[in-house]
Amino acid sequence: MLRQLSTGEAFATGAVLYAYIPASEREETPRVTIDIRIGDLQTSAFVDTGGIYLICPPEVAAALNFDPVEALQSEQVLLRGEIVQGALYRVPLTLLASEGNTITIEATAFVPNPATTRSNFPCILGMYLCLERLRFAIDPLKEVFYFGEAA
Amino acid sequence: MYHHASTVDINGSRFGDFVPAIGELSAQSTATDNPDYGMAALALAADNHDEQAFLAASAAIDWRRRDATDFLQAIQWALAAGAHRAAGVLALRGAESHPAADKLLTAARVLAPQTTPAAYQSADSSVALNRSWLKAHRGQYRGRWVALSNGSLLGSAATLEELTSRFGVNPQILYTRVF
Repeated sequence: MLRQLSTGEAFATGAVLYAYIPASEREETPRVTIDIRIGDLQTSAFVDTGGIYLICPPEVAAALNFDPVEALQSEQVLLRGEIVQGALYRVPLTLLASEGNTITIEATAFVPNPATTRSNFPCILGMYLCLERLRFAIDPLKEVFYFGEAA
Repeated sequence: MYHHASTVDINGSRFGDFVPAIGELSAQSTATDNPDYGMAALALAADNHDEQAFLAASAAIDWRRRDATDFLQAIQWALAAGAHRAAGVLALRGAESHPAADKLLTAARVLAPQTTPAAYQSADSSVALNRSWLKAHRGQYRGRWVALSNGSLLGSAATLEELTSRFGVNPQILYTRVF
């Protein structure tokens, strides 16, 4: 059931059961993981409200044929205390709903250079220039991720 | 070690072992033999991955007098310093000041705040079906990429590339690595 504000306005326009699972083979710590689409490619992503951008693994970017001409190439980007090389793109990001409506927004995606990063990680939904556009909430008891566009 | 632009070499003989504080650099920026202390301060902040120093150095620069190359270099240094919002501000300001500079326009488009209205579509029942399949088969496919459609397995492989070459990039197919 989608939540409402006291005014009767819908808090969320979509909801989906999330998976509470590790983000890699080397981890046991679970993360809130939902299904998304980047362009036409549907894949999984975990939510990181302390992160920035949509972090897009190189193999996902390769499948989507991102055009380097459309990218802001960067020699060094400081992400969570680590320096990585890569490129920034503007991409359509869709959060898939099993109830209500899916929503598509623009997000800034960072694609690490495959030569300088391990590649076995999923997409990561950060806040800045990604989730900040949305109103969202989680219900850990029912493992539901609620979302909708902010006013 | 970070490689600075050729015009801003703070490791060069001009600086030697002397590493001035940001405020000192800015104060000296009008010296007659000015090697561009303002940009050097940005480079120093990038080298130290110091967002606060970058913001202070950027605030001391008169960006109205800067060309597109300076903006592009400053954006790179902002990203290296972790000053991601400042990178976006510089990109927008640079694109406004230099509308013929294609790379600045690209930077502004990539780093701009989101303005396009969101688009909505009806919920997709396959999302829950795919999630159920993953929950039931996680142990069996751990570490592999799988392609799912409407809760059914289309195939699995060691890489995403193997799967997309077989099934194509299709918005109705979920490609995910199983953990």
